[in-house]
Amino acid sequence: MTEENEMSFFDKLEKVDPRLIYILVFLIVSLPLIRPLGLPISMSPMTIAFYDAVEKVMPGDVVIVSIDYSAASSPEQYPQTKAVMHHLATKGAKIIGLGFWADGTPFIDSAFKDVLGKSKDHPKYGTDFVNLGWIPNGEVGMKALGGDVQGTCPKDYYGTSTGTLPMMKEVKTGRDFKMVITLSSGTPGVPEWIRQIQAQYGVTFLYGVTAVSAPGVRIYFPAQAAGGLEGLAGAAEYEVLLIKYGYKGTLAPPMDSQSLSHLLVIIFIVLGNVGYVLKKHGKAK
Amino acid sequence: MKLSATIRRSLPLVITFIAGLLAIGDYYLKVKVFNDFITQWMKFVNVAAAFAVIIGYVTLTRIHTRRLNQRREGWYNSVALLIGMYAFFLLGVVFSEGKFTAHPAYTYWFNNLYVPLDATIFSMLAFYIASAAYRAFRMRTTEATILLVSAVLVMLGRAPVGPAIWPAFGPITSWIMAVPNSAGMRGITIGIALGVMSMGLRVLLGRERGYLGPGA
Repeated sequence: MTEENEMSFFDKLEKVDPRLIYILVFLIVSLPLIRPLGLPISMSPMTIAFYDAVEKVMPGDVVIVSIDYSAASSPEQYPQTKAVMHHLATKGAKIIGLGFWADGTPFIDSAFKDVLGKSKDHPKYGTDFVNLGWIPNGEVGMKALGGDVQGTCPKDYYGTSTGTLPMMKEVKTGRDFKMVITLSSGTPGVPEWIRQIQAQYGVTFLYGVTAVSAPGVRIYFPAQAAGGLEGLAGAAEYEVLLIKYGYKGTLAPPMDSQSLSHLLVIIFIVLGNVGYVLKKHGKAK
Repeated sequence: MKLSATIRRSLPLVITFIAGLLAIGDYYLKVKVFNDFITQWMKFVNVAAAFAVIIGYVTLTRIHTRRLNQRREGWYNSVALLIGMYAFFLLGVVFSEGKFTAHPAYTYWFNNLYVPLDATIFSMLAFYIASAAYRAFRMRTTEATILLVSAVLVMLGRAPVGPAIWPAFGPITSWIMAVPNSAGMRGITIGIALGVMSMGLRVLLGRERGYLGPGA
């Protein structure tokens, strides 16, 4: 092989056609969804901390579940939402579903239907869980919610007066929340909840975020946040922990896809660097 | 009634100063009457902010109607936007009597049109991130090499395949996230907080007037 040919080979390693990468990513993501590999799911300390905190919830404790994401991140965060709702319902918590992202609010209704079978038509709607819908104005809305829950949300998502719902009669301010869980993919989200509710009322605070947001909010653990679900991996780990409550998770195949796609990216990074180093070495000679 | 230039310039600054002091005061003063007043005031601000949706509708309608009338490039996108916007408004507010999910078509459209479209756009990032990671992660400097190695370790530790290959990938990833990542992010966050405090003081004292518009 001549030096010229060697150089062109190194160049090729460094400059793979992006279309080839796209095709391989598509295949590697799709195949495990059709035929799962069944790789075992390990546990991260954040998920265990999240699970342990929810385990401490006593029957009758009021827990806010805030849907602070939009449809874009729903494939990553809706599984978190369902698992959280299931765990809380199992513990006998009084769940208040609400949201500060307008286009995320319909997911509260869907999650209640998926986990409990029904939403507003459920016989325990109003006594065990409520859906307060969207609250406008982000962080200011959170501040208002903490000061006066019924004043900020005079009606629930279905148009019923909040004051007439039995479980809401005892929920006046942020002091009445036992726990706040935000499932968030941006602003308003974790820092805003911490500033306006966790810090001011001393509420136990948990979060579920997209994988890309996780490094930014990890700083609040363990002082402000008692635990967190980080991306699809966090949700998959949480599903494993909930098996003992009869929860049937759906995330094993997507995690196989994620595993293979991570491997593919690493392989390409290695190939690119091999090409880069050998080319540099060749030039130095 | 025409306000003098001085009043027009000073009035917003005075309102901002008083509003800022009230908001800060609520955090530090625990006086029931005062705190109750602030709670009412916050609810008023919430209601006022909700009206921004109306302004958004009017502005979007004006901009896209103009694009449509002038047959500018991509005018058909404006048609799609206007149809989608008003269809959701009619289904969610008018036909549902303000109860959003009352009309089955609203939920159907949301779940079967909006969610898949939005999620698809977001998921396309996977392709671009894979391609960008391949091109960007090069061992050009020591710092770039540390970044590359950290990224590879975290990628392996956050997917089941990593611990399946070597169980230590999980704890290594947890350490990277909990120690170097948190230390760096905390530094950045504290720096931002100090900047926000400084900017807040400048706004309260009328030194920063950018929010009033040009020429303020």
